[in-house]
Amino acid sequence: MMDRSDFAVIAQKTLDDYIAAPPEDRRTRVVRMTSGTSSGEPLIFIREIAAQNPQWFSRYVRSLLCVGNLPMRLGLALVFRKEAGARAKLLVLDNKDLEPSLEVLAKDFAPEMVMSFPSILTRAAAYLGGATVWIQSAVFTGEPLRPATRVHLKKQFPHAVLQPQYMIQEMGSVSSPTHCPYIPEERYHPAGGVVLGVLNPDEEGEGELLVSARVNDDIVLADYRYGDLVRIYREPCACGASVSFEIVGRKNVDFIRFGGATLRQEEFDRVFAQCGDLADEYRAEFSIAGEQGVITLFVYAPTGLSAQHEKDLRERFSTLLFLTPRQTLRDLVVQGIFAPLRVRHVVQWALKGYKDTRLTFAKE
Amino acid sequence: MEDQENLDTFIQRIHQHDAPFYREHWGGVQKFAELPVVTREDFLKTPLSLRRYKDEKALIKIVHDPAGAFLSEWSFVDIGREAYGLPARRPMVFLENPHEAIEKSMWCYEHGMLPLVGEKTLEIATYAAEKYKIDSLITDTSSLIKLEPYVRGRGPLDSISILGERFEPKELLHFGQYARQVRLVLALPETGAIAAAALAAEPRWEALPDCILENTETLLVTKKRLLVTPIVRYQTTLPPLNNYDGAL
Repeated sequence: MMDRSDFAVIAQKTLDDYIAAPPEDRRTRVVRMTSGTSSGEPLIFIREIAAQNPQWFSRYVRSLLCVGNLPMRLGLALVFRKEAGARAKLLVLDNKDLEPSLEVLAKDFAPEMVMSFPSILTRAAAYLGGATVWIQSAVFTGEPLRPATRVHLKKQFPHAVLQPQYMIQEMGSVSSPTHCPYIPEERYHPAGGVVLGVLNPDEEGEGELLVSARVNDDIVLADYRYGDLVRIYREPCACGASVSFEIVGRKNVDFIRFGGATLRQEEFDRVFAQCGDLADEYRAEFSIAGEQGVITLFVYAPTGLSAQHEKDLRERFSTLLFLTPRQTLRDLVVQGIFAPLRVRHVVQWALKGYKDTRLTFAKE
Repeated sequence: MEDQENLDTFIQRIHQHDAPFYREHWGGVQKFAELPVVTREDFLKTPLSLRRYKDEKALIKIVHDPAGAFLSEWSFVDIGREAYGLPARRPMVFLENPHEAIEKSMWCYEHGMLPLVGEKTLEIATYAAEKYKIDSLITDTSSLIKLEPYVRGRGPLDSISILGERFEPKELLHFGQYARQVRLVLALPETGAIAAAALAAEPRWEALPDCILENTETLLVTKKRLLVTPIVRYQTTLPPLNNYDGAL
């Protein structure tokens, strides 16, 4: 089994090899970077430009790209440059472009496909005006396409086929290029040459994702422990595929694992839905103090948070929040695994960054 | 004489093109020197679809201006023809404007170079630059100033190309010690590179190949290549260039 430290060795070797003897055609490569948000320093490495999914751009003349950091934008723009037709155009949007003037520009450009993070496209849709109806294909990466977001985007882009992709920086697409109509929307088939496994599956087959794939001569992943939670279905599909998978959580985005407990954003959402009389918004931050897990709940209530409401919030979360299939936060506090819940009221409300992420891991 | 003939042919080609932008703007005027100037305001009010003079695989940028925003389309081939940087093994593109950063990274690819595109977060950009052992920089003044602690703390780079619309050369002079060659490249998002000069207290600007510069109250730019939106007697807000004689 490989983990991030093994990949760090591979990443460094790709750099060392490139610096010592760059290949003749350097245009087939790209410098990529893992974010480093979940586990220490970013990893810089060189890999071939992803080319598993030529259909993304090759079917359309005008494509729109709204994704995260610059290396990712460049990597996908290079896929476009390599795979799109001779007259194809690409507009790469930045957060700063999301302003009222975009509506006229989008009408002029008339995009036919968009590749985006779901959260960015949700925001961008408000500025794209009538151009949203011309979009025939919306490919999603970077974040899971949550059911509520899917419904919202389907309304915003009524003629678009929504195609979530599961990609990892280390290799590109793990999922097949187009969504199979015979499997549920939240599932994928693996891309060709990709073998998936599950580490420590529970009774429902859910566990940590292991990815095996030969990316190129330099990068070979063997049971690479990426960290996301997955459920694998080994059953024949009408399309001919024999395996499908569902990502049930993104590591340190949808869930955090600590001391045998799994903190899931959807579980926090579920409990907070029962606290509507106490606060309007929440964000939860997990940290480790000594050997104990600490959950801090930042909440926003327009009229302020009284001592009684704070106490009620603490009580409801402690008794209703399940951190294992059978144990609540209160149970784990009693066992000393977690500290009692901390509640903080914030005067002004804004989620950190642009992602629809309410559960975060504070490293310190 | 031959240059003038080529220029006349170029203007005629634009006149005869299906795209209406210049034909309508110029009316019946045919002679280069008599053509009415075109401004950013004209680009702002004219959709890209009406000023597209060629249809190739291209990258489109959004150009922001206090008066609004407009689209600027550049074919990959044309991006490669601009003189943004110098040959390098491991260039880093570190620019404030993300549209320009992607375009200049593409310029590197068009020249067979594998660039590192610098992230906005300085710490990550610096970390990546160290790991990739960059040997050159394509940057702008504000980004270079941010990166100064990094460039000061390492051995000299092969080259630094500083792109921009305006420069304060005297404030940049000390960057001369951080690279074997430091050049200033006058460029606008919609025109591409216009002129270049070695870094000096009083830079000696030279028009880049295919560029015609006219020193009037402000700098007028013409590019003799057919771009997606051609640049013909484009009136910038840039001051006339010192040390450039303005001759056609």
